[in-house]
Amino acid sequence: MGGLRADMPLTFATYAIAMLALCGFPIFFSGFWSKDGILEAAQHWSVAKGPFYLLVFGAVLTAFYMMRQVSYVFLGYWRGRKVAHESPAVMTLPMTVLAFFAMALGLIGTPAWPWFHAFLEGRAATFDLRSFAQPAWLMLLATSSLVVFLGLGLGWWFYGNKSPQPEEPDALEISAPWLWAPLHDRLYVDEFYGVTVIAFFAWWARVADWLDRRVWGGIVVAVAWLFGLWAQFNRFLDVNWVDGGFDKTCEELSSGGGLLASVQTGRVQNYLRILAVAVVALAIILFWSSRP
Amino acid sequence: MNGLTTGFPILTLLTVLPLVGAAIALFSGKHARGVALLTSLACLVVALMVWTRLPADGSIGLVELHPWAPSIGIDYHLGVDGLGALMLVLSAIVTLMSVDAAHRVHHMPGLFYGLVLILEAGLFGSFTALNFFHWFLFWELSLIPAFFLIKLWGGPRRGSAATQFFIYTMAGSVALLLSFLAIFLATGSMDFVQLAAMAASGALSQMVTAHLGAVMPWLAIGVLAGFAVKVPLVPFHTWLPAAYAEAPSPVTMLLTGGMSKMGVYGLLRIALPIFGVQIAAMRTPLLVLAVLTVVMGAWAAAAQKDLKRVFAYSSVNHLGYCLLGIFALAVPVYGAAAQASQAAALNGVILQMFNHGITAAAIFWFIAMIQFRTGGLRGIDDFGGLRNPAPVLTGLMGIVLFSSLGLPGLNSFVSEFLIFRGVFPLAWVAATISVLGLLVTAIVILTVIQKVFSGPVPEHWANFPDLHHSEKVALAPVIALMFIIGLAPRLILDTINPTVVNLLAHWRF
Repeated sequence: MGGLRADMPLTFATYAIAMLALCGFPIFFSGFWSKDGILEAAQHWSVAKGPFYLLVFGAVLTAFYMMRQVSYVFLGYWRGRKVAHESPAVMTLPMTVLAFFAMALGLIGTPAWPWFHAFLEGRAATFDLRSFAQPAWLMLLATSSLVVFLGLGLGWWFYGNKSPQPEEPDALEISAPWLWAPLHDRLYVDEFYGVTVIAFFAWWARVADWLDRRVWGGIVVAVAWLFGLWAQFNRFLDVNWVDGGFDKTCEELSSGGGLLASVQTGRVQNYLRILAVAVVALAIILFWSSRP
Repeated sequence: MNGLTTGFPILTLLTVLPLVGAAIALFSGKHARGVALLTSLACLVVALMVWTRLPADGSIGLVELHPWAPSIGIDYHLGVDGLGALMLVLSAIVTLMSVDAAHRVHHMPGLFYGLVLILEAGLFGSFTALNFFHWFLFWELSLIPAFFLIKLWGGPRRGSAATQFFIYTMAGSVALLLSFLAIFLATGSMDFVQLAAMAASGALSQMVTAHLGAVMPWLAIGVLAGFAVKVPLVPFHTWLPAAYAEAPSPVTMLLTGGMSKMGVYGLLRIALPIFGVQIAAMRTPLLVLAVLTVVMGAWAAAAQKDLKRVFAYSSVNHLGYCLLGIFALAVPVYGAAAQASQAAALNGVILQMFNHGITAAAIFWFIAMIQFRTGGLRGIDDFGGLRNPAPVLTGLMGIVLFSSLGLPGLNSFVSEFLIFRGVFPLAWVAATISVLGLLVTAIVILTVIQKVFSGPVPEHWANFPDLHHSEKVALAPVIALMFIIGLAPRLILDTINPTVVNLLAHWRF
């Protein structure tokens, strides 16, 4: 992109308003009044002054990068291939409305009529133009304006109306490569998260999976194995003791049966012989036992 | 007990309906799906009728009570309150979704749809029974069709998955059965309502101790074990990823949408009313397990590469919130603020059961559609950029995934918010650690969206077919329901809140 101010004038105008509001350009833009309020609160914070200076530095950077961006997109000359054209009303109308409020909303937060502040505190706002004349506020106005102009000026100095080709190095890269390199790598924040939070997340997910498969699942497998072992033991008892004992009894019964079967020959003469021997034996026993 | 039926026996009708449908489906061959669709649609209508006929005070209504085998304490005792009725509606919706998702069953379709309907009957029976014997019958009955549905129509490792699922759940059931036999020996009753009243008055613990000694905590552990496996509670969950992954996706929808709720329902209908004091005494270790379920479930999901396993673990995580709410509220509370927290948590738990059922079933439905289009692929790295060739599929599945993630405006947000709103004042350490689960779930689901739908489209998926008309029509009511509950949760909460108040008034911790 580049030089779009000519092809898209309304977009440029609304964007410029929004950009100046974001930077906190003095007096006319809402961002100035809200930023002013925050800076004022930070300045009066008794615990530490660090946040105030950080905020000021942040405000400089905001103005700087917004100026860089506007220079690349709207100033300079067109670098693309196609022809740019203004957006239809469905987009420009909301943009205009938003741009209007980007300026007008500041009215409810000025020291002269701090309606929003009063609304948050639940009291009625008073209108008093003399608030603008307080020295403390004028100091803050000066600081705040200085900060914005410093950022915008730096941005213009580096990038204004240059429209470099995409393959050309950035203006900051040329003049301050030591600063450009860490900024280009986003101060290594992503890398820091990559080796800490994300690495921990992935590692812990693997731990959870491992616990599931090995520990909890392992306990289940171990229980199943113990049951199998117990079943084997029962089988052993069954086969060797219960079945074995049963088989042995059966065997003895059948061998005993065989013995008896050899006596049960079915020959009447044999039976009579055994009977005769038995009667003689009984007679002898009776005779013997009945002796006085 | 004397027989008592208030009005038409609508709950019996509801349980018999899918059994009749199953009998017809078994013999109707390739028309079985039509029979199953009609039956499950009729069941949904009846379940919604039940939902509209609940007593306004949140007590148990539509009671059917007949002596069955009085000498051993068995009655035919049915009844529902807001909790039971919501589960009936959920089971009916999930079964209808499952039958709709299972449109390419070529292998023994009659048996497949018959088993699905028998499973539905098992769900209906266990959500309406108020006598242990009767309830246990349906609790076990639902296992058998689920086992065969995994075993006969599942993936490559279906055999071991089905066996593990069956044995695991049976082991829990045996513990449950033993506990209730002991309770019956001591009290002579198997009726949940009677036992809950005895527990609330302290008589139950006295009778059990007089008969069997100080075994009440062990009985509570036995009952908890049965439900802990079913929900599941870490570390009793290892059957779940295998069963969910190996089951055909329509069956996974039933497992996660319906059967996992049987465990949570059992905790609310049986464990807390009868063993409230014992559970309150074990609250801290139970909360530790619930937090582990929430956090480790989410993290284990982050390590999975199979979409079905991702959402199996995600189910563990989401039901973990239910367990967190249940164990957190099991504590004696004093003062209106603490009671309000208890009520918020219980409302959240019951609504979460419904929301998770709908959302998880819908996710597995989408996985079924993706598998159908790719010949069974479901690896998280098998896809990419599907939003270009299939924008409607991407958009609708995106809504369902964001519902699972808990995006405000969709259903799960309401229930998870209520659970955390209730749990935080009651057990802030557990609640604080569990918030990690929300974060990790968000990462898991965004990773799935990124890997499946964003990025460059691989050449072979350039013509990935988008949803066709009938799929859109089938999905629309489910997705509409997610928005309706997300934007107007009072449609359900207004009916379950009286039940919540009624339950909490009768529980004793």
